[in-house]
Amino acid sequence: MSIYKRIINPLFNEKILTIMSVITGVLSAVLNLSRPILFGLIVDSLIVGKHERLVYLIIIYAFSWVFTWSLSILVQYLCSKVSQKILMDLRNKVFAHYLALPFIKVENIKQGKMESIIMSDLPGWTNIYGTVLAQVVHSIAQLIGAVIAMSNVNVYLTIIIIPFLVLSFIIPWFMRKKLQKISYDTQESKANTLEGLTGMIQGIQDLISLSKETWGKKIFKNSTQRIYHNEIKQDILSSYLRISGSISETAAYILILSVGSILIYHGEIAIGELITVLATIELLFYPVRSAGELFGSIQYSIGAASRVWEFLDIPIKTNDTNPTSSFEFENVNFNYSIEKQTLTDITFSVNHGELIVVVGESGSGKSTLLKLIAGLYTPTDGTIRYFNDDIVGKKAVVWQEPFLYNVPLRENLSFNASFNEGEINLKVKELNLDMLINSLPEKYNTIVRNNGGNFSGGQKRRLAILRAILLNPNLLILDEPTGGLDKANKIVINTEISKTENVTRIVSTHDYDIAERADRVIVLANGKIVEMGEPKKLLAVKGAFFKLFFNNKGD
Amino acid sequence: MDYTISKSISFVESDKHLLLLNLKDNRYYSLDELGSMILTMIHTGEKQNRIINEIIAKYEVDYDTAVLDYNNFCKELYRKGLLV
Repeated sequence: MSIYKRIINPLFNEKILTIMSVITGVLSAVLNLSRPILFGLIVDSLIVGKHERLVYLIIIYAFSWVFTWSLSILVQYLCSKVSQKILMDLRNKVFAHYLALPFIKVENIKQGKMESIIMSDLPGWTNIYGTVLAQVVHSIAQLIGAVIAMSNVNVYLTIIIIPFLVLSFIIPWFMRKKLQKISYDTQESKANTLEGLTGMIQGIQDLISLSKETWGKKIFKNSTQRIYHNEIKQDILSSYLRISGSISETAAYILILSVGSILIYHGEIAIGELITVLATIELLFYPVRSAGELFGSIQYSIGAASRVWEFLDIPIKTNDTNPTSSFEFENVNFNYSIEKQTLTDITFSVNHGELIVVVGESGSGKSTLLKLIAGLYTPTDGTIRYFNDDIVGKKAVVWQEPFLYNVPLRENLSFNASFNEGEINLKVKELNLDMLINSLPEKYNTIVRNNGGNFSGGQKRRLAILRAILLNPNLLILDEPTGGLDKANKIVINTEISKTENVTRIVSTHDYDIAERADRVIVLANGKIVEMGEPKKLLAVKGAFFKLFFNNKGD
Repeated sequence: MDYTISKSISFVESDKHLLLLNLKDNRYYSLDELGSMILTMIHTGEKQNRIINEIIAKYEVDYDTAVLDYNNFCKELYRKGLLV
């Protein structure tokens, strides 16, 4: 699909609003055209002394302004409604597309890119349907109307103007690629700045505590400098287009004035006729005058839209995996890139209700394996089979760095599902969270700020575990649930995990505490399963499992 | 008497107990909370008096009981070759 077709496409979903905008725009242009004609008639009436007619014409002239202003407000309202409706729909479409992408693609999207697409690129694109649509409709209607009106007044003078008009349109048309490129670069540099800024804000704690503010300022300055240069280039090109239109208009004006004066001198036309033509030139060149701005806006919109299309063209995931509580991996391989295999030949099975603990050094592939089990990744090779289809797959996951959303704690825990406080309070007690909840100013209704910045790491982890348990899962996946916690909190969490019955639990950990309670342990090293079995049996062979946890390896 | 952990001993601590392995005979031993505390303190090089004081403070027993418990425990481990 060509870019212009793709730009126009959203308008087809807003047919009624678009048609209404076009009609009101045309009406407004017709009213604009009536004024120079009225003005010419007023001058002629004045010259010939028809005073009664003069009064009527002046009243009509005044009303034409009132109608124009009213229509102008209406056009603006309709165009704004079209563009805002398209913007709202596109924002929802972009976010839905983001959620539908394969998780591996989501992980690879640059920091701040989504924010920049939704808050900067999309408004840049849909701006075309508001101000630009109004301007285009108005300009085209006015141009056509002015040509018709002028040719009725004086064909000869109209023909003289046409080459100047053509010239005024040709210049922006030939410059369009260049303007599009500059607009794309400007939008790209703005997006890069936003992306960089988001990253800086997220890493502000490290930046300040490492006293690297100067480095941060330099990076930010470089990116704002790119916007500065691109904006200047864009402004210069736009003003060049504006001036080229203005030169054509002035030349046409001077020529018509000269030729018109000669014609009046020879008695071939009346003064009013020349005034009408001169006043119509103003309207005729209005679209030309705004062509620069118009082209700038359109190309800017295309530049912004191209970035959105690049994102929307990323293929979404083809099938949704719904993990169940019993499954098997058969010769599964997984790699993030061609160069490096992350998991190799993984084969194991899990029965409903088992506690499976995955252990291994950092970087051995534990989290990747958990993401495969959770259905976030799909294997590069091999098969994952899920059983127990009769049990509705309901998984809950707690990642190493759980996220708490900027909504009340109640919503963070329930995602707006029913919230039985009595039932929840029991679990809250078990997870040693009752004191925390009671200390919050509005208990469960307290708004969580800044990804739970007002909670400690341990509290956040326990809240995330609570959230997972409240989902009543039959598959519970926990990625290092006790990492970095004190002994008391470790005991609380490990007890909760081991006593949760009738739920398949997959836990990755560096702690022996939970590993020794497992039904089976999977030991990973360099992306391969090097040992698997009951913890007691694994200890007996004094292999990889033993070496991971015991202080004296006896080597 | 002050003890040190035998070089043939390997152990891991969990929230419930301390698991010991004598690499010489491949036998595992599980220690309760008090045993775990004593062995961990021996491992970190603490002297007898310091360990006994810790037992008194934590379990609210008199000095004689603490010394008796300490000695009985260490002698048993010494006999099994876990302490030297």
